[in-house]
Amino acid sequence: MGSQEKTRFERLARDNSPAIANYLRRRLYPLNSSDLDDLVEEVLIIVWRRIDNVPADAETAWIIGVARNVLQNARRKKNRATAFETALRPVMTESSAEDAVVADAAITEALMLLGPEEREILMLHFWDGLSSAQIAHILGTTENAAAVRLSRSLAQFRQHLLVDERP
Amino acid sequence: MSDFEFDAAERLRAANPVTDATYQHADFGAMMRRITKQPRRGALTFARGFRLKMASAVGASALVTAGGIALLTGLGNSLPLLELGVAHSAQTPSNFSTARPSTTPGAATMIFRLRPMDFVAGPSLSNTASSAPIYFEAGPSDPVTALEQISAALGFGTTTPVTTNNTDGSQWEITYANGAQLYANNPNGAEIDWTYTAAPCSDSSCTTGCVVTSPPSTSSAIPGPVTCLPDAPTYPSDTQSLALAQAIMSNIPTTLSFASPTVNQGDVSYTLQVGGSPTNTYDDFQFAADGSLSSASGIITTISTGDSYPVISPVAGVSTLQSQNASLGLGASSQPPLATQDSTTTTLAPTVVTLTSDVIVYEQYALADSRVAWLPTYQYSDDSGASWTVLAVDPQYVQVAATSTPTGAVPNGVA
Repeated sequence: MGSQEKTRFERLARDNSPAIANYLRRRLYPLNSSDLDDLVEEVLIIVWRRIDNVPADAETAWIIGVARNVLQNARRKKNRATAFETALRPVMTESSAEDAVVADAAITEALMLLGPEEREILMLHFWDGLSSAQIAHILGTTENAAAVRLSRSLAQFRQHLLVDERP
Repeated sequence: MSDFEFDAAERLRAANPVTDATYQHADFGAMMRRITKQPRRGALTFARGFRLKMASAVGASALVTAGGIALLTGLGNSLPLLELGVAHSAQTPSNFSTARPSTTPGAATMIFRLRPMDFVAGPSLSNTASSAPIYFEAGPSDPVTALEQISAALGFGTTTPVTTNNTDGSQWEITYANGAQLYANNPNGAEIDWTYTAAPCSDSSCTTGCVVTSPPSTSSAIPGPVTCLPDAPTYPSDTQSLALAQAIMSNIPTTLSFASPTVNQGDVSYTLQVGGSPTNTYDDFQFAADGSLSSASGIITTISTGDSYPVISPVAGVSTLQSQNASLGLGASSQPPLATQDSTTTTLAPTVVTLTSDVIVYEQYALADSRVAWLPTYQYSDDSGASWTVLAVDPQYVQVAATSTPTGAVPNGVA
């Protein structure tokens, strides 16, 4: 193993661990610190294995994409959700705000009414702070297409919020 | 942008459940040593879900023996103890049970906060224990050939080269001339999980009929509203979707058994069955309006039947569920107060959940000896349709591996 790759990996891990952790924290709850450490490590293992493929101009987006895949592998492909989801969380929770308590209930309800892709793209932008270009990298599309999808998702979100709060 | 539109975006931004949160791995240096010791082209680690499930599924169960596969005696029959693998961080049942949500008082609130629940068995649930076989799975001896067969079933040729160890974390990948991709992972050494994704849309195909009326001035700005033509149907009829999916399924060489498909808006799902019982795994196909395949995913493995194990009664399973709920800090009496954005706290009133139906659903568990077993679980539902799952195998026959690797090295097959 060349020290150059190792040095780069250590920099990537150090610089991006908070972003990875916060990405996961925003999508899995409850998540204790031990589980969070394990998940971050799982993401970084893939980064290490693919260190030659991490694009220099989109490192954070690429790594968030890996984190997204780690979650998707557990959720989408085989319903391998976390214990909290499979054992304790109602399957319908995502579409029901009844069992969730949030700081801004209307925001959550409006988010839950969106499709998973629309919700994810809004979360990537407004919560994870990713630009349209970075989202495009994660979604494997062009920046313009990502901007359009972001805008459409936001429009749907606004509509749901408007309906929800209409007197 | 109107005041409301601005307000909606800003409220969404303000609802970010994690802002300015710091993160420091408990032992960053040890983690780096663990990772960089590994070959960069080694096997993928287990899906995280396995590990959490493994630890929690028996969180409230009595441990019978420590370590290894043991024969149980005095129970009327002798069956191998099902020793479930454990995460390398050594989350034994005892320390796992003390896990608590990592709420940070005063910090922004997490968006999802489960209301504490008390589970009650409804009158229709049986008190009768029974038995059920367990199953084991084994992956194909030649994954590349198996992937090529999937490629052919999807309507592509088999001559496209398969590449390995790819940028998205997959182990095998076929990239077609039109940009579509078929990729696969071998997450537990006993199966291949494959996923097909159609070619990403180009500017024109992604934005047909739509235009951004006010492009953002910077890449990080919020894009302006989009004007679109009325949406055309985006998926084929149910009949068309089923026919398209069946044509693909019939061309996939497999010994697996699937339930009758379900279809919803162009999405066709085939639930995998073991021994005639449903699993939580499925092959899935999503079609576009023109009948083209938008995405698909599935599993390649073979299933063999193992011993038959005692299964607790559905009523006893509810007690187990309740115990797990409490041990994970989600029971009515174990809820920490909820920190809210204004630094006040509130305690949620527990919800009594009456479980009114149960069905055996098989789920995968990794055993400590690296095998992957399909074990029966009870999937309970309440009258609203919400459901919960708990391992149904008599806990006397199950334990979590008692040991972990002190160095933090990843055990073979179980990360």
